[in-house]
Amino acid sequence: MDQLPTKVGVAVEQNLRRALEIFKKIPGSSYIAQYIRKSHQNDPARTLFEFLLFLFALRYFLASKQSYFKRDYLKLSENEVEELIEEWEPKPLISSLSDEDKMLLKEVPVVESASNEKVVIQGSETPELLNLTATDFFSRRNDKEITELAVEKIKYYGVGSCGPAGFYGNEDVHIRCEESLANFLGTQKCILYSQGYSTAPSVIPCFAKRGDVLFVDDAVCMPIQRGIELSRSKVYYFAHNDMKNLEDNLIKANSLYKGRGRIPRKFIITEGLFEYTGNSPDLVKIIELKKKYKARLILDESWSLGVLGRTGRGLAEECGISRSEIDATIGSLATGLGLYGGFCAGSSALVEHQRIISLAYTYSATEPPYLAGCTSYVVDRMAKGVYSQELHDLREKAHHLYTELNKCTEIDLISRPDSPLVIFTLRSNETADDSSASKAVHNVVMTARKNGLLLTRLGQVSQWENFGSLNAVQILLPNSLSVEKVKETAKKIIACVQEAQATN
Amino acid sequence: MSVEEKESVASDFKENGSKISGSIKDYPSLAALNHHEFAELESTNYLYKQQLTEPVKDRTEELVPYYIMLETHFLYLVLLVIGHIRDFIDSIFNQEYRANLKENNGYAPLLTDFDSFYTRRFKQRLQDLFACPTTAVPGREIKVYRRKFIPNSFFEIDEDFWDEEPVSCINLSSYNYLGFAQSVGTCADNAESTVEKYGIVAGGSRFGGGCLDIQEDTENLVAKFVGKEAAMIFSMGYGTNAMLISNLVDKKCLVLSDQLNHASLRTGIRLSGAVIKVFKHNDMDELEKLIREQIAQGQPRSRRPWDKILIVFEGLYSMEGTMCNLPKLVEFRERYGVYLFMDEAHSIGAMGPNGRGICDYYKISPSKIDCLMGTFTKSFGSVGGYIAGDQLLIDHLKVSNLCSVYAEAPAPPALSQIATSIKIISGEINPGEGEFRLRRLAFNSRYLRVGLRKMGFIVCGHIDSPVIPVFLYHPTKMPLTAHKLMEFRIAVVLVGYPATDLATSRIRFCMSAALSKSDLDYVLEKMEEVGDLYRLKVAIGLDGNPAPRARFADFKDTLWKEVLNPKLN
Ligand SMILES: Cc1ncc(COP(=O)(O)O)c(C=O)c1O
Repeated sequence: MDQLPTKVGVAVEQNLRRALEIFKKIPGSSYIAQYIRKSHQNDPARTLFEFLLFLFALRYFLASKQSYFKRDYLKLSENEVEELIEEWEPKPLISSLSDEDKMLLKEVPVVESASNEKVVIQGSETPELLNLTATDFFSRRNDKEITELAVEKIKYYGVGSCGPAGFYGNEDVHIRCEESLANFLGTQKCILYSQGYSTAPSVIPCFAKRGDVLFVDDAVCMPIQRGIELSRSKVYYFAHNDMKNLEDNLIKANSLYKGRGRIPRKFIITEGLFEYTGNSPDLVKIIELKKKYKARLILDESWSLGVLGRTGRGLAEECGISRSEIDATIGSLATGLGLYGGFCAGSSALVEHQRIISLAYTYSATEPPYLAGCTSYVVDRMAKGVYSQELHDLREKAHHLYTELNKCTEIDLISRPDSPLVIFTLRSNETADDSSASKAVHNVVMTARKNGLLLTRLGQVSQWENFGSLNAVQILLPNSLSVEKVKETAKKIIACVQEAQATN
Repeated sequence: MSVEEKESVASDFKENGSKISGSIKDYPSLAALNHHEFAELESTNYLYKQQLTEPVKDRTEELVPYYIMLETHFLYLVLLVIGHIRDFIDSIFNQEYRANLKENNGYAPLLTDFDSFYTRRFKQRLQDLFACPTTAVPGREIKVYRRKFIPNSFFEIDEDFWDEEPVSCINLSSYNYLGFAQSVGTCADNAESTVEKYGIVAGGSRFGGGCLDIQEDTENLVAKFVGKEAAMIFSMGYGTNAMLISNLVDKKCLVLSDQLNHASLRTGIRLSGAVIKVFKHNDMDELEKLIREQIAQGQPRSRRPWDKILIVFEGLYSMEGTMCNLPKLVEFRERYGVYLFMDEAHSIGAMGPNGRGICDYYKISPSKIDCLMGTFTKSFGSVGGYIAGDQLLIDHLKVSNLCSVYAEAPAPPALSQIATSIKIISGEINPGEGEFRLRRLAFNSRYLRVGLRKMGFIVCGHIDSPVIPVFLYHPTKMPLTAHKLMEFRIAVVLVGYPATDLATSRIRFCMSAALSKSDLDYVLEKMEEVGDLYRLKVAIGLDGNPAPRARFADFKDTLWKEVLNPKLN
């Protein structure tokens, strides 16, 4: 009640401005204005009458909208209500686990002790498995220099930051880390989120609102899908990496909005290295299209940052594109870089706006300072090109893995040849239904475990995937393996696939 | 205070059957600390064991004189008008300022004029207060870098704050309720050895190879601590809520959500697709009416009965300090068959005689709440969130929760911090220390709250809550108060829109066990000064007349005794 005056003030303000704007845009509005003026000149009383009539119509319209649900309510007596309450049988909060869930549950590995190149899995007969699940391709998490730095930071900052950024939770290391990232990527500013996954669902709705238009690759990962849902914008999905399809969509949308007054914000959303396919889009073409059709680009470099490009600056570096062409770079630091948290980099206005509006930033504590410290250490070194050789080696090894795996006729390799994130599906699954496809993947994963390889399926929850789950196997190639070992591993994987299919 | 008095309380303290000592020197994890992180206890009188007091109704609105609200609205109107005038002037003379707000070469503006109006014209003026970077441990003291205000800038903020030395302030801003933010001691030592053993991060999602044994062990510990069958830990509290509700309800279900629920919960509910009804903050009558009406009416249009009804609420509300009415909610659960989801972000560790949250406080079995959630960024000095519930729920989450499948698993050192602090609170290691922290926090919270209330500030929330908001209302008082307190070396959080309603801006004290009574005396003294200066002591008493405004000097010596009275509320 008390806030009513401001609320009303704001609302009137807003509505008047909008109304006037809209009014001017309505075709023929000038005639109406003229008509009103004229009729007023002729007969002032009529204006008043018409105005009252208008008010009445408005009231009727608003009132019916407000009580839309209520009007739909049944009129029930107290006894009837009591009876219905007695009768109501809620479903259990969680019904029992499905067979699929039980199977997946068996698949989730629990690593004994640390996650190194070789790991021990709880409940597995094989004593030691080769770890092909670490997103941290370069084992930075166990790197001596980095762990020493982490200990040093904990000795100074403690573990947690104990507060969101706006409430004294932004420590100097966080700001330094943002600066390092901005400097590395070559953007004006960068903002740090405390979880990689929560970055996209929080950033996208900051800029894409109701009435805006998004052009989205149909293989984007879950966080982007969630972000799109939260934005309430109009979405055009284009076929995975299909530039022709993207262009068609852009043309379609542009023709739809042409001459309709306010132009909507348009964003193309795609990934640098797709989590689900291990592929990259044709960035050069996207930039060309985006300029031609006046859209902005949000590029998720979660997996490509620290993997692609000579120094690890991601897909943009690989394609020779200046970062300034990309309006917003978002991503997780926990995937390609193997660290922790997420980021969004771009122009100053883009980043600073998020500090107040972005929910996951404003309403969540900042990441532990020691991790921010380690991140800026890694990023600074990467900017200097310290890791260039390593990156080159990794891509080379990935290529070897690809070549070997490609010899296998039972699988479809869908990732790009030099991607250390390797994704393949099973040929036998092409015609299978979802549950037997999932079962086949399960067999491969479990057979591999029996034979000393820890790999997992591509983590997807089919129920929430816009386009269903892919039922694919995911391999993350650690750089610590030698080329020989990589080839040997590839052969082993093929053998496992064959064994799994034979026993099926 | 007399010697006898001191002794009587001290012996009373022993009679309670606890072996706890009154000096930090006797606790291995506190002894090494310097006073910047944790203060020595000045007397064993300054300890309090939380007890159940009747839940008080949130009376903030009754406490505010009407003219204050009028003034506040008038001031916002002025700000609004000035903002628009400046926008108008800038639209003519300052093209640089307009660059991001207008159509440019066929591109729609990145930010709309109207959407960003608040940020540009109100919040920007407080930018120097919100964006203060800090350094070192956010313990008893916090080191704050001051930033300068840049007039008439779009979003710019001064970047060369590094040159000046940070100032050390008494820390009433961090969520360091139990004082576990430490750079030395058991917690930090364990975290350091964990880094050496496990590395700095887990290296994957929980589903895809990032689940280490330390995570399962810590999860079991959390489950035991909160009194549930199983638990699961995620790397971020916000993400936990935002992605969890989808696992519990779908579009055939109804969610009843408290009006003041945290943004993460609101996001989570929206993503679940369930039908949402919001009830007035803590208004149990309205909630019951809503439950009855909804069960009877069923789903709109199809008229089928609801599959499930879930009530989503928080244990302790972070911006108001109010507590949920758990007994009533449990009654609804039993009577109507609705499910309960409680977010204990601020209450776990901080509330209850044993620090086990709201259930512990009300002595209600945790089995009566279907799903418990909490975060570790607050009392535990770590990072991440948890869900605790039945084994079935947790097994379900392991394979179909979005955070556990797609997001990074929690970092091992953070898990170690969680495990160690839980063990300390429950007395498994360093016996007595957990209780010592809990009692200090409980005393400190009551002490500051009652002190402020007696002076006539508008303080809202529950008497035992460690979150103590003091209402300012006028937008102009925000920068004034914050600057003045900073001058006095007191760091508090300034809260305004969008975290609260536009008109109810406030400063918020977050209590900590690391503070001593003299720290609080200093804060009260300075608050009195600030209150006099800026006319903040305007509360109205329950009888409708202005509340008595006691001078701090008059009750300084007796306040501690008063707050020990468990009947006070
Ligand atoms: C009620 C509530 N839930 C969840 C969160 C989010 O927790 P975190 O900071 O760990 O992301 C907060 C923190 O501000 C909170 O107050």
